[in-house]
Amino acid sequence: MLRADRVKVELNGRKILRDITCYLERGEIMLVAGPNGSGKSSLLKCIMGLMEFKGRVFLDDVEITNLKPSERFKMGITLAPERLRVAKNLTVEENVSISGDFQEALEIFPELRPLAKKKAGKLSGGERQMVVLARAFISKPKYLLLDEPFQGLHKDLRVRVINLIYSLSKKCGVVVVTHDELDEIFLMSDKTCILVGGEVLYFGDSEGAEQLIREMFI
Amino acid sequence: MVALKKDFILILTILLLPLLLRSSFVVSVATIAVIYSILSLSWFFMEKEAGWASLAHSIPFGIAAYALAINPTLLILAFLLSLLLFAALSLSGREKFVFTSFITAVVFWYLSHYITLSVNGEIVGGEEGFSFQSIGIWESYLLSSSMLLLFFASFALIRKSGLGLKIEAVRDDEIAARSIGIDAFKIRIVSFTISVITATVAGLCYLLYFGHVSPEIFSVEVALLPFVASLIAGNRWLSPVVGSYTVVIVSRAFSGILPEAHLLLYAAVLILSPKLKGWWSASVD
Repeated sequence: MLRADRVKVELNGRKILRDITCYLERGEIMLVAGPNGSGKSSLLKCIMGLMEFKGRVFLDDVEITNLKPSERFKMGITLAPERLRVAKNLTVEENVSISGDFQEALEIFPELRPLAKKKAGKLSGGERQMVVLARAFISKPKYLLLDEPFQGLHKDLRVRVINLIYSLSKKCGVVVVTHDELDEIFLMSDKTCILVGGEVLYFGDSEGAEQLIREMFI
Repeated sequence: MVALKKDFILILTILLLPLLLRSSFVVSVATIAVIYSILSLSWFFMEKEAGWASLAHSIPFGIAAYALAINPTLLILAFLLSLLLFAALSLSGREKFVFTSFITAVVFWYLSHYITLSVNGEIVGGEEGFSFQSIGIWESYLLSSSMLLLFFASFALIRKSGLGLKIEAVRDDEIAARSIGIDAFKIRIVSFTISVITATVAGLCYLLYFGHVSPEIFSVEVALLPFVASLIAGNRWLSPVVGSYTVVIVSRAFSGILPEAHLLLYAAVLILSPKLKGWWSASVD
């Protein structure tokens, strides 16, 4: 189980996250929804160890609160960050190879084959997002944190990523923060966490969140 | 990789030329250029690969020379001190690192005037510095040239290795790199270590050639030299070498009529640095 327990973040006197508690098991998908600035990405950064926070994070009952991101990664947590973040001066192949086998990435996104030798900084938004996702997918995580995974992708690729998330969730836990394709992700999610103003408005089984989600976002 | 091979062949040619001319004067000038080339290459590695622009490479360069001159057993301590200093300065972030490293270099220059030892009741060091047995012009040239080739080849190999990819990934986007499990701080320290080892070797070559080290080794001119040299000649791995040769040759060519000619070159490069950076980036694209 991956569990965030009473996570709080304060930046320059502003409370970004207030006592957030949520968890998911391997084999589950958790949708994290909320308006812009509600703290969704910050929550993922805290779980990955990329942001200072108060509170605790546990992975399979082991406290990982004070572990570095590299140690959390070794324990099985991977984050695909938002804003299409890649090493822009490395080629597509080099970017992906850091994380695992490039051939495996090509099986997921064959579109990357002709781009293998192209620098990531010269890619379009959608191409860059494929690199971000490929790096995360091939790292064989136990828990995968996806921050806006559909950014820049066209409809066909979005459908493929939705299917990938679904098939990955058979083996690992997947946390998805998204504004796009919210209805699809919500339908296949087991848990939903709705954040508003850095606070949990709802956390629990997705069935119980249907009305809220439909009223607020869809 | 093709560009790196070309650069390696060009450096090899530059290094062989003085040997063909068989002139002690040419070899003595070339030795200084090669030593500064190693120093500039160490700077270039840290700036281009790791993304940390230091203006304090005079510190590992100078400390190594001082350590060897005073007591060779101090060399490891000298290396560790330089590494620790860079690591500590980097905690303030990339932008501030340029300024804090430069201020530290100036402080070292000032303090180096007070490095003295009592030998048989006589005070040595201070402004005069320390002496050491020189190994001779030709031997120095062969030693420093071999070191330059060795480091150049090593950097080319590192660039294409898993470590090189991680160093570049951290430079380009630390958050993205950390998200896929790269220990950014560890990678930073590894890249600083590689750079400091190179600058340390340059310092040792300096002392073995000149047979003397004084506070001038920590001067602002030496601190700025790798930056200026790397900007003069482009954005390739060959650039710090060509730049260092240019600075040394200009300095020697005008030494009779204008001893501080190289400072004019420094000033011109510093004033034009934003434009030069733009040109070289455009030429790479």
